[in-house]
Amino acid sequence: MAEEKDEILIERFLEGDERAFNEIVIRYRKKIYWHARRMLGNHLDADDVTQEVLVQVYNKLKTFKFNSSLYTWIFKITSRKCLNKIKKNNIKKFFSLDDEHTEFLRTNVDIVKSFEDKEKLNRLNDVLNGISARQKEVFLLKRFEGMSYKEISEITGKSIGALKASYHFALKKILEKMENEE
Amino acid sequence: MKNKEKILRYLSGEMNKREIEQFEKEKTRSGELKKDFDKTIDLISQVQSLSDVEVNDAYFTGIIPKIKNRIEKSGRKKKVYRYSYATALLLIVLAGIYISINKNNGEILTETQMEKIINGEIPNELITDVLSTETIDLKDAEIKMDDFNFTEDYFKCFTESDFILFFNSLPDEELNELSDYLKKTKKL
Repeated sequence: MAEEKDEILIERFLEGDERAFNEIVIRYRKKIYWHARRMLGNHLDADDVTQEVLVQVYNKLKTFKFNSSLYTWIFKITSRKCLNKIKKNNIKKFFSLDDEHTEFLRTNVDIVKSFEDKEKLNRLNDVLNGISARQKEVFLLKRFEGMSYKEISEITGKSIGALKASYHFALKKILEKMENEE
Repeated sequence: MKNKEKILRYLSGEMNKREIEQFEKEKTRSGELKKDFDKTIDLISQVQSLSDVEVNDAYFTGIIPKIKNRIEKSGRKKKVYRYSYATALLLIVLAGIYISINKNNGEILTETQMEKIINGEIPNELITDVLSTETIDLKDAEIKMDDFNFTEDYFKCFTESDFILFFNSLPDEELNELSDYLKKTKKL
């Protein structure tokens, strides 16, 4: 059966069909999770952001204006939530507010099955950690989500020129790190 | 890598049409540029492949009930907050009404008292019938009694709260007159 268009799902949801929301979740849950995971570097925070995003989508879907695609709208929410989470984590770290238990969960709770895969993700975190959150975001949206600068601009609110510069800088740093590790 | 900057500009989309054409031509001609370019693409692919991992899919299938639960909870919270705000607001309003009623008790001038004030008679009962005991110092105010047809004795028995009530009942003309006078004497 062919997939229903996002617009149709939204209309169905607005008419009170809860199953339409479930379909939206099924369609976007992995994308949201993986973007958050790459941005935040661990499962615990990514899970929290994924749930927050989907709850917000549920609550705000009735205000969706169809000015952008549902995909970019969801990523706009995800992006904002991830950046906020990073800020909160930094503040908590600064004031040493995170307890040992949370830190333990952050490093040990995961949905990744094998040790090798965990190592791969740790390496990705390591490579991405050398750049700022904003640059990381541009790099991830472009490389991992295959978005155009126009779409990224809609999500981040930055000009295309600024995004190109961010991507250039991010790529340079990432390549340097990869070369050094070789 | 010698051609790094050039490759980065190309990949970031910072080159204009002419530069792109030139870069692509050079890439087919120069073995070194081609080698550096391929190496860059390979490194980027390596970064991307770091995310190709196998995960427990049960997490994704279990996310819908989690979200529904969260939505329900947040809805309940919102309701509780709404009721709390409404209750708090109601209490504040009731407290305000109670305070204002009690504050005015014993201070509100009766019609007879007002009449006496207007007629220039001194309502003696006001002296004991007020909560506020601050009296207005007429010497400090330097108001000329002649201007307003009130005797100094009349003001002496006046408390601050009486004055405010009386002041509020002044007709516009007199009020303006008083205001102008105070402005002139730099009291306002």
